[in-house]
Amino acid sequence: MEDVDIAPIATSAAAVVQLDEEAESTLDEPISVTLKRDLLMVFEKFFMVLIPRLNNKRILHDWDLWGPLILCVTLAMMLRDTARDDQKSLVFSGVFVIVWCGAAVVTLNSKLLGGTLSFFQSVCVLGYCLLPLVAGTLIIRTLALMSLASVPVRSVVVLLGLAWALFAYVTFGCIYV
Amino acid sequence: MSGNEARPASGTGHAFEFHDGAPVLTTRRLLKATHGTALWPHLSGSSDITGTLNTRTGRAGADDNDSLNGDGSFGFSDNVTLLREENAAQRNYGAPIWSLEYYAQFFNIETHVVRRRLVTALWPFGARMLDTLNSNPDLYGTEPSRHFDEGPIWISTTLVFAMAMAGNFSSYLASETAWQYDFEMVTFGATSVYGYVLVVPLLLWAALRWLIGNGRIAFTELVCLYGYSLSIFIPVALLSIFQVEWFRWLAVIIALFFSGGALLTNIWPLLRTHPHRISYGICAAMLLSHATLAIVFKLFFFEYNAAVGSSGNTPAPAPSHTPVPSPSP
Repeated sequence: MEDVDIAPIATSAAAVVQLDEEAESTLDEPISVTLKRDLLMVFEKFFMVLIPRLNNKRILHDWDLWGPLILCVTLAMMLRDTARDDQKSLVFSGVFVIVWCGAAVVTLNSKLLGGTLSFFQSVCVLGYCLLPLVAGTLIIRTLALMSLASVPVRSVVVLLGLAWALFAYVTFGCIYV
Repeated sequence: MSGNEARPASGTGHAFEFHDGAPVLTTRRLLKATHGTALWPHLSGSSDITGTLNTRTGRAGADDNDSLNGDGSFGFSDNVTLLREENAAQRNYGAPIWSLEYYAQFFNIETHVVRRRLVTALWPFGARMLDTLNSNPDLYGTEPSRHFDEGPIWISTTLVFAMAMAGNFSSYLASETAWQYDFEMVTFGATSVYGYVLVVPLLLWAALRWLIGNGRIAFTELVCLYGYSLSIFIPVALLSIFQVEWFRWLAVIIALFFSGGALLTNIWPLLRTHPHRISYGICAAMLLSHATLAIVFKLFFFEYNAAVGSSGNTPAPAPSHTPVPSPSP
């Protein structure tokens, strides 16, 4: 992950020295610092999706795939719990396939139509926009504990989450490709 | 920029030459070619083709309606840029085959073309899609029929998820006991739809090419035809949420009539010149596979309805009046 941050400045001799110093510093730092920094980055992006503002575009330059991975795993685990007994592993792997292959296909499509985002930037945004849906599943689990999670209620929560996710995606400017 | 430029080494740069006077002629062709291309990929990052254009030969595209509007004047260097982008549209684009840019040349489908293809793939009377696909090259510049159209991909994907959602929803409405969703609807739907859209056109293409001798039809055109013809099953899936059996079958039959009929009237002109037995056989196989697909979809996704009293995916006692055998403890 650190290489992504460092690479653009490794162009001149003077920068190489700086590069070495920076590389040393991020390689030598304790793991807790690295983790903290990465987690902060992930949570910052979570907040961008949760509270979509119209100036969210700067996320695009600092893509990371940890957030989407965390969200995908959480979603898969949640859906697996409520799936039929003979379909639990199918649902788990199905969620992964749909999320990642879906993101890849949509990204490819937008790139081939002349989009300006790089492949991973687009996958990053699509992955982060899963957050409202994951939040929806957590809400539904809470409701289920209180025996309130009937199918109509679940449908409403999911639809709201979907609308939220779509709105968040739009604020990243990705559709104006 | 006038004068001759030698053809550059193959695999790099652009495979065209231009001489004195040729830029003007090619630009005029370019203007007609890019008429209406709102989705042209701006690969070179240069000027916007759909902007206003004016060439040395005068106002361009005055008789071409649609998107060429007004007049402005670009310098000669812009003509060159336009030429470069026109050439980018041609098949011998300079990008290597493993780069994304090589494939971008195929992704320039336009909305009105999509609309037209939808209509010709679903309405058995009137214009033919394969005629549409092989339409007048002057109008589109470079054989649009050969251009990949991502319509079939999105239509197939929408169909898969629409059927899975509608099927689960209808089984929920039909269930009497505790209901759990069935994820197999997604996997089975995906396998069958994507398999159908890829395999059947492949077989048809092979039959057309080697049994009939018609090598001009491209595989992608047939995929396009089949992809668009499947789009009618999306509303059928949504309508089948209604728990009324005869209504569902009626919807399926109507959809089959339109999509199967359109398939038939699109393929038949290609078979007309050949001995009848094989032609009839191909048509029959085509219609049979299409009907099988529709019937399998109906039976798999919408197996239950409220009157029959479905199991909701768990075994339940069958009502006494039902004529349809259902699992009962």
